[in-house]
Amino acid sequence: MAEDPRLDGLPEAHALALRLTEEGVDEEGIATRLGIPVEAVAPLVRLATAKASRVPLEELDPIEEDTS
Amino acid sequence: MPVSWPLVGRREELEFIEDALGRPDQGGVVLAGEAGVGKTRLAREATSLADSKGISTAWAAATQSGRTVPFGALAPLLPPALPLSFTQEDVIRSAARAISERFDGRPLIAIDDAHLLDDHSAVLLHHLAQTSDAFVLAAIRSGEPAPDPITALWKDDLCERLEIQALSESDARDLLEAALDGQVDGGTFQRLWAETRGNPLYLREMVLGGLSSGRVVKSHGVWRWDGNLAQSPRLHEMIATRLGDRSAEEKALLETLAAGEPLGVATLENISSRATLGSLEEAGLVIEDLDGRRAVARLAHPLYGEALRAGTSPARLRTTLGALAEDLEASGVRRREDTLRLATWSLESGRETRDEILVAAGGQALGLLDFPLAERLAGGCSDQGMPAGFILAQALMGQGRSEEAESAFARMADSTTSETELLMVTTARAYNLGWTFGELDKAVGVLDEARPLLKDPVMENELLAARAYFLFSFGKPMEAIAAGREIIEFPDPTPRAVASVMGAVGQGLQFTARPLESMELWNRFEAPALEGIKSTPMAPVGPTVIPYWGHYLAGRFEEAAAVAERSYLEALESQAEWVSGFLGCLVGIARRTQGRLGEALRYLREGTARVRRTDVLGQLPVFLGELAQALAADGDVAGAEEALAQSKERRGMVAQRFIDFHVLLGEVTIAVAKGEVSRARQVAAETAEEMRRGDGYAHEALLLHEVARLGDPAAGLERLAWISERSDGALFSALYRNARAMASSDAAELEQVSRDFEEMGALLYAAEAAAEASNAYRSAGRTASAHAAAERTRALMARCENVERVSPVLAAFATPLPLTSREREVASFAARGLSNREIASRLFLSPRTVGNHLHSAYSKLGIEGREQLRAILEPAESPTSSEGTAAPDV
Repeated sequence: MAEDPRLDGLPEAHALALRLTEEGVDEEGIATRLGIPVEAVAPLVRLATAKASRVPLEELDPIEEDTS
Repeated sequence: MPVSWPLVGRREELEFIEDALGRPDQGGVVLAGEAGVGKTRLAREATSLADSKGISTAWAAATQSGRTVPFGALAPLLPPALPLSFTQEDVIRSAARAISERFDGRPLIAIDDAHLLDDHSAVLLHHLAQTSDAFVLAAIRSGEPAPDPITALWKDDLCERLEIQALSESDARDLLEAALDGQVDGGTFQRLWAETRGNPLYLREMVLGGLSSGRVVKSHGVWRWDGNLAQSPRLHEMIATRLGDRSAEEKALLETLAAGEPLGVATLENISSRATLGSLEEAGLVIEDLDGRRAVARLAHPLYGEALRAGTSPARLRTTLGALAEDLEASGVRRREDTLRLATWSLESGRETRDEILVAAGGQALGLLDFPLAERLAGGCSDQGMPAGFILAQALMGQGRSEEAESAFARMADSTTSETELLMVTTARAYNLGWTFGELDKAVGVLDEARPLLKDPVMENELLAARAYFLFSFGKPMEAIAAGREIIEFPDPTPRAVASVMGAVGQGLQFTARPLESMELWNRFEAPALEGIKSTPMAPVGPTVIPYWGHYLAGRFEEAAAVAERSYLEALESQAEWVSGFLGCLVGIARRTQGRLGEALRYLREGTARVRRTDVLGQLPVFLGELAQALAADGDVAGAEEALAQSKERRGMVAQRFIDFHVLLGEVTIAVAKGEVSRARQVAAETAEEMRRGDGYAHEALLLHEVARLGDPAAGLERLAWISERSDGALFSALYRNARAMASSDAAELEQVSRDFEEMGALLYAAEAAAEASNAYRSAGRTASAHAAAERTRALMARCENVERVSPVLAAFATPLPLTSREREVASFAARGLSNREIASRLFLSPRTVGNHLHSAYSKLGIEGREQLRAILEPAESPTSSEGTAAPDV
């Protein structure tokens, strides 16, 4: 999977949750990896998605962007 | 100073709560997170937000002590007495009814530390969420047991559980800079980040502690942490609570980890027991990890280590470290880092250690650029001759303690026992003398004195390579190139010889306007050159310098900035702060050239603040000169003059001719910003001549181009043509073509040059050339083309920041006036309130001539005095126009 440079600007748990979701890991798997209750996974992923969509493009490293 | 900590990085969390609050079927939100992550602050902000929307709100906090009291936490929301009830359900229903009656509509009830709630309050909250009689906003600490009704809030799908994470790195930086209301030094931030990992409370407590102890200081406009990071007593208390009351065995294990983490699980099991480690892991205080195939344990948060160490007596710490050293030595030094750990633990515990271990560890510390540690390790050896003395001398040099280093080198010179040792000591000593003391003669003298003692031609070649580098460093690049080319063709030159030749020939080529050739050479010899500077103070910046200036002088400014920025970010991890300072300044120089003034200032301010403290390579005058240019462009002329004065003060310490380029370019820019364009031109022309005398053709060309853009394009044409002819890369040719096109008012060529500059990313030059093209088209009566070029000028200017302050051409473009350059210069001074006599003295004219220019300006502008002149010039109160840049007809 290509690394999304937007994830670099997120807190670690948010980035990891999005990466695992992208990889198709189910909620239980994500909960285990993050050490959180399974019920907290969906809200966390929603929040992480909202944060990722807010990372302005100009903050991204142009070099990484070109090579991603 | 009073510090206020704004809410940063929680916009999406607030929106999440706001969204849930807007849904009538949603019972609430549970905010879960570790201590200090900002749950309470977020709940407070959400409560205020609800208040502002006209929603009734209530705030309550549960505590450990209130846990045994029924409704202890929610008592303030309830009437003094509830109706008599016979079952708990009745009690809860009565309480819920009382709450409903107390508020208009559906209230938001916020409970802090809800995991500590008494059972009654917990059941009531569950009931309120279930019936949607209230919106519950509960904050709980992750990993702590919570009453069942609270857990059921998310398990039963009544509330959403939102995990609150520590801030991201960029949010943590924003928070810190907002709280301190100013730029924070990159290295300081990295250290705080490494300690706090984005936990806002930890960050806040550390910074407040640092402010009150005077360790957090503002220096030259940048906040920095002076000395070691130390926690405030308040933070210790906070962490002590987190560590809780542990058994003696657990405490001993935590202290051992704090002293030497990460430690092998096997080591810890020798000291303690598996069960103890397990219980600490369960409590979230210790984490186990794999280091290769070895299981290691570490404290769960770096701050725990700090707090534990602060609470351990020095004697106990020594005992612990001594025991760890014994264990490591007994089990065998197997990993590379084991040597360093064994040596430092032994030193700190006062345990006797073999010189061999200290020397090996000292060499590693030098390689890691931890010069103070290298000094301690080498200084701990019983024999201070080679090699310990050599490590010590280099460690002193790395810390900028060059006089002590010279004494150590001088002692070593008599105690060397082989040609290799003699060469190592002699070249290192010469670098110290040359770079730090700026004494080329002494440096070369030391090398020449040693040469007859070297019988091995490989060794002699290495010494000659070092000599060539000195020739370059002190302003003789053509000689250095000639000497260096011979050396590099010697069969199998040593890595150190290659490194010196790269300095001499690689940089020599750049200074003589052959940047692409220098990069070809670098690509060929990069690996041995880097090997050659390994374990020297040059190591951290060596890989960057030639590629950076190669790109820069070839006009590839973005590539130059990117090369330096990557190295800068890596260097922030290093202990040697001058390295990131040095590299940050390089980024700043490229950004300034690109017209990205805000970024340039940020990097140059931070970089110079860092290099001021330790200037290992003697480059501070260069960076201060560059800072002066950026400040002047930003309108801070006083700040620029101060930076320039400091730059000149330090210039004398290093006898490098080319340092003058950066220093005097600072003077040129300040003069332009002050409206003294004639003087700026004169300084630029004189400095260009100085560069020519030292074969510094690249710098000569840049300065002659300054003369051209400041209104005298014909003055340096011949030299620019010659340099352009011998140069490679796009920049020097563009500088020449720009000056030539300006001199001949060749509008089409000016447009082309403008596009070439734009492609390079040199937006200031691009905008100026476009403005000149517009003027040339207008003079030729080609109005449409003049309009198009003017439009292009405006577009380019919009992409720069404040460049018209240091650009007479663009200032005239922004405020078009029908004046000659001299009339505009005189008018500019008059508008600032200078008398005719004062203007005359500044411009080396007679007062009568000044009066004539002023009279002519008044007449052309249709005005009668200085007041009116000020009103006209104020919008672009800045440099004066050059001839040939009269108002465009747009």
